[in-house]
Amino acid sequence: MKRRPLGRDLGLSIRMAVALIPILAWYLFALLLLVAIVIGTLADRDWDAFLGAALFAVGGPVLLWQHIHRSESVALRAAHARELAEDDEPDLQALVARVSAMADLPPPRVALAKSWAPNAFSVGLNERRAVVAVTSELLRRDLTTAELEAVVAHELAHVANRDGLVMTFVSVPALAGSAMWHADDGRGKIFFLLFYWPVFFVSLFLMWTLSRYREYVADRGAALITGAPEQLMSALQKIAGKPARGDLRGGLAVQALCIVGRQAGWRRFELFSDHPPLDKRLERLAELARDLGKAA
Amino acid sequence: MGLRDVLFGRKRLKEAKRDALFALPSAAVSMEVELGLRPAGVGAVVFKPLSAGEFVRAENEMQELLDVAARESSSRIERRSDEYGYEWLIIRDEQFEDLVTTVHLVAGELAERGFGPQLLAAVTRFDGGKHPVYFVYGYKRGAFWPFVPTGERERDNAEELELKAKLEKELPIEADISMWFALYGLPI
Repeated sequence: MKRRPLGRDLGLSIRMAVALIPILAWYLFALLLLVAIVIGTLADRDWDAFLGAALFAVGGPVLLWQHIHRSESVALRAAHARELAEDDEPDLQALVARVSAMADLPPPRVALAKSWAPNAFSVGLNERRAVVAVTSELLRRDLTTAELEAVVAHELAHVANRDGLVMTFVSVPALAGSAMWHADDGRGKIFFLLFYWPVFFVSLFLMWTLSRYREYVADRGAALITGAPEQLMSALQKIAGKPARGDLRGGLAVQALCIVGRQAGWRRFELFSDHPPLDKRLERLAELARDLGKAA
Repeated sequence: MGLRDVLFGRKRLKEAKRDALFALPSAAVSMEVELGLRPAGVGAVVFKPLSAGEFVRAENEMQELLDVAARESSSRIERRSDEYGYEWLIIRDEQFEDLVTTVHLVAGELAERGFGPQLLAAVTRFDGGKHPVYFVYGYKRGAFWPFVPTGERERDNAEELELKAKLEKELPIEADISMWFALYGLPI
């Protein structure tokens, strides 16, 4: 007997694809622009400018790659996260290993973040580099083993879906904007104010939108791995019920990968938030609970 | 995993690969001859139950079927849950081949009812060394790995690697050592 795939949501898939299209268009445009500049310098026989453009074409991606690599450890440091030794917090590590076995992922490294906010997050571009971190406050809250398992499963679903990679990819247009703004000479700022600001704000919105979608998807992944959506529901209620004090989020690429987002200030409005509101997440999880194990 | 999974997220757990389990009986013969490891007459299927009603019903049906299977094959089956919320169907049979057959039957019944992705592992125990040796068959991987626990959270990696070296000709052993998951505190 075939079982129905869990939480197949065509609407969500279409919206994700639609949000990705402008981002892809940005990459295409950037590539074309670069090619046009290189060809232009060649046609003008302006070798200095050609050299500059060629250097940028090679150096830009290298710098970006370095930024991405650094962002992993920067994020962990910003969250005051300490990677656990093998015999540290054995119960937590054993739990993470079990959950990753079910998800068919190599067991990620586990880190403990000092924070007053109960939260969990993951960093890493792929499953081999992944680090799953939980905050000290999360362990202090009296989550049951099944609830903690659900939280870990949500993070591992981010890892399995390569959300670190996807969100990094999606954040590049916004990142380029902030690089222009902070550039040493004034020309970056002028370019930003004249041309780039609409692109910047649109790409920020797209980033948040995709991040919200991927939270739903990670919730679904957690339900798949644990086989018990209701455990994630009660865990979310326990840890998102109280407002988080302080912010443990680091670089652009990881702030989206916490299990609960910060819903203070203007992030209270869904459009400005990288996490969906709690009631919507609970609603979807309840739907999954009804669908779970149904025949195809 | 494909691009679609990256773009839209996984919607299913990996389906179980059940068939490579049958490499075990012949490997058991050489384990006994060459390594002095005897089957302890006990094995188990580990799976993750679903909280959904559908699953609970299927599980109950399966229980009846298992009782019948147990009566026919002289295996004894008991059920245990562990602290991580996994279910263990523990099978006892002095005949190693029958034991493996019953393990396969149990996993097959779960898969038949559409719960193959809930299967985590099949475990068999061997005695005769300093510590009990377990061979874990990972249903997600379709391969075996040795597990030699020496304490509450310790395992003998050297012994495990030696077992891999000696048995990898006969038994499909998981090549990626980081996927050799431990099952500490296992009830067999």
